[in-house]
Amino acid sequence: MHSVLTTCPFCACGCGLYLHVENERIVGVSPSKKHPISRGNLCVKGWNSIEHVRHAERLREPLIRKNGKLVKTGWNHALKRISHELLRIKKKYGGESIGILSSAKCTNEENYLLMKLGRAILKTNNLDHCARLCHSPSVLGLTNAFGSGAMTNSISELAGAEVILVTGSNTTEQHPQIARFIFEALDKGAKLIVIDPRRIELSKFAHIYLRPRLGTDVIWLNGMMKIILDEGLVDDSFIKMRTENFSEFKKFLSRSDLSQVEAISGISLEDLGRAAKMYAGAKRAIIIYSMGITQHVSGTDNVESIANLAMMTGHLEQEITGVFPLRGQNNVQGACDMGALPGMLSGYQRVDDPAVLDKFSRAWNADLPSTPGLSSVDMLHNAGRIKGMFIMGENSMLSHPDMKNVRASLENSDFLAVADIFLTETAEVADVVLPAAAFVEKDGTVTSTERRIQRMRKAIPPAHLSKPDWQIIIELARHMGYPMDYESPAEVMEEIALLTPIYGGVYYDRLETVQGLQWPCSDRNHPGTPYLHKKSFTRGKGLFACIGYRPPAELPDKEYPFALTTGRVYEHWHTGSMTRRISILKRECPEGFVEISPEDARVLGIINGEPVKVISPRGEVITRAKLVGSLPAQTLFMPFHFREAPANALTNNAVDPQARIPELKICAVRLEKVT
Amino acid sequence: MRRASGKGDLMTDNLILYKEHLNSFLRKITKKFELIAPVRNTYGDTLFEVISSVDDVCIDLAYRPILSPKHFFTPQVETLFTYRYDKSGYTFKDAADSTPRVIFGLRSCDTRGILFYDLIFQEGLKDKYYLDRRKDTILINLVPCNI
Repeated sequence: MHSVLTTCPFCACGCGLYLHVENERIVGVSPSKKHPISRGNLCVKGWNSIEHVRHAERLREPLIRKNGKLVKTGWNHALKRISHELLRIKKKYGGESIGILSSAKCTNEENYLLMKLGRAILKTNNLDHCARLCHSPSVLGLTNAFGSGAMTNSISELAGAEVILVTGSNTTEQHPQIARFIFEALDKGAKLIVIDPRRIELSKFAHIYLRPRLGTDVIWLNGMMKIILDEGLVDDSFIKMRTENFSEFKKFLSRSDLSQVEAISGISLEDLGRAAKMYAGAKRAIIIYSMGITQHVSGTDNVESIANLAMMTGHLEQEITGVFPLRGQNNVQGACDMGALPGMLSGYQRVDDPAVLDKFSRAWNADLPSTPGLSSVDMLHNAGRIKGMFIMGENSMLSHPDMKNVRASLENSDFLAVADIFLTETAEVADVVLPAAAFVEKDGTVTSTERRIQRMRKAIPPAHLSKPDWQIIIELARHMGYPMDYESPAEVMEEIALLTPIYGGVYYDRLETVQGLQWPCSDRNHPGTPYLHKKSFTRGKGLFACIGYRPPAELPDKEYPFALTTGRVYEHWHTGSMTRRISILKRECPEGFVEISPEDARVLGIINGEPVKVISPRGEVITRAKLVGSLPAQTLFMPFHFREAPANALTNNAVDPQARIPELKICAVRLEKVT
Repeated sequence: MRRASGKGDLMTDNLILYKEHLNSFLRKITKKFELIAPVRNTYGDTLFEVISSVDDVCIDLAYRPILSPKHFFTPQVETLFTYRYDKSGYTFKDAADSTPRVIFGLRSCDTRGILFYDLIFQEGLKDKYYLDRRKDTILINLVPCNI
């Protein structure tokens, strides 16, 4: 038996784990003791991260649609068909009619190559990935405020915090290893504030727990900031030295009406005042947030309000003091870094900046499109707009809101190709399906939520006839007449380093440590950056934005009296294509459910475990009721992992006008007993 | 290795291996046995590994290895037997592992655990595969030496 160090394929904690290999089979997983995040521990998903790799349902060979059915074919034929169809569509309708979805589950190198293929060969900026559905408001909002859209500090710094404010993050379930650092801080005497509509596990440990109504974050954040202003708890010298537009912001706050805060958000001013004083009064305070903040039509507003709060209290630009957007997927940070975004090339270099475009054009020897493209929501929710699509490792059918609409868009496109490890719900409607290698079967790098670039290492050969995505893209590019001559992902990273200033010093030989490197890392001698904005913000001065409240796009009414919010559970991962094929995780949480408060259940005569029908204006789902004490009245919760009870058949595709993120956290539904 | 004598020795019949002789002792072991010991890898983690060249690895006795050595006795995957099928029918061949091994650098808790394994696999239905490995394995245990 030998052991191979790699990075966990699930969340963005980025735990280092060993794969134990015997005769080309992975027989076990152990956490690295020296890794700065795993520290000898894994969550239930990490411990069980390998069973799906040799699952009988792995895609074995390329598939091609013939007479309406997907049938086996050879690699050459499949790649030729994809190449022919996408080039035909480009010629007939132009590059803007082609859409490409990259993947936060794939490596940095794969995201970079697919982004290059899309822009250099297919001449499209319609490039996106699932960050659209999770942290696009963070990328935008934090860039507007600070100049960089990433987590400001390192995960381990949490352990030294005085005050931790957690909002819209079910940290113990979705980032369990990060939650361990919160508990470490609590053991040392830190204070914890939890602000969440659901009484999540972490709230049991909170010194202050506040329950806002769904979609009222801007209101309570502005209220909290007004209290801080009125109480004289602002950090005047920080504001003066490091920020701009505070005088406007101060006027804006002074005009706001605190009496509205309680009426709209449901949080009493007294409780909000206690939280405001606790947060503002600390020297080392950290805000943790996640998709409870971002998945709203006001997602960018919420993020910018959090940035305002951190700036006005001077809780930035230092160690153990900052804003922690917890990213979802293991490489969602990296996929953004690599330019799998409609308006940006790698390293957040804008496609409409002539100097940037010139640099990439010369390096790639190709003309590049200069107009920002469409987001994934705009590609998948407008049937007929996109004629040809290539989707790498994403299951948009289950992850996007309003499933019917997504299906219509995918089925109405002229051509759809999908590369994945299983025949997902999205692959099922494709014209060509390519079998991709799993995380243990390929080399590459991934970037965790704390900007930590780490290696993924090949431990066993690809299953059946599958290939790593980076090889698939290279071969596809060759079929399209654009040679990509890379021998390995390490060679791809050399090109990334050359063209991407924040990755300028990232080379594979430097990643042969358990710590990896944290960007920005500008050159070979740069040690990496544990925390951002030291001495000054990336954009120069931090920018205060005056943000007004925007209510959710859909609120409960007489016909649909409940507010439905969606999320994930500890045992499963996103659309379940991996975790639902892992027996222990399946045993722990075998099927979907809808959570309801016992009081609401009593009124409707629903008992625990009873099948119920959840109906929204967009669809209906039959699932089991689960009575929980963690929800407020007239509010339901559903996880979105389960294809037989897909929460996203119900959710609303109304989007944040800036970040284009759909409002997955609130829609109106009604509940009926199934007779 | 020297016979212990003189001041400070607790039991005069014991043999004492001096630190500077450890590598040559282990090198000698590798000539006759498969040597397994805790090795610190380039990432700083310590794991029990099969060592072919003592001088090419960093044997780490200071940190507890990530995994116990139990998988050398009860591997997750093992070939129990092989068979051939021809005109005369099936011919089975035992695939017992009879590699002579030395596991060096176990903690006392590891050794204690293995002694419990002995009870489980020797009593009642005897597990031939475990017992074969156990019979062919010498355990060299670390003990606290601050006495």
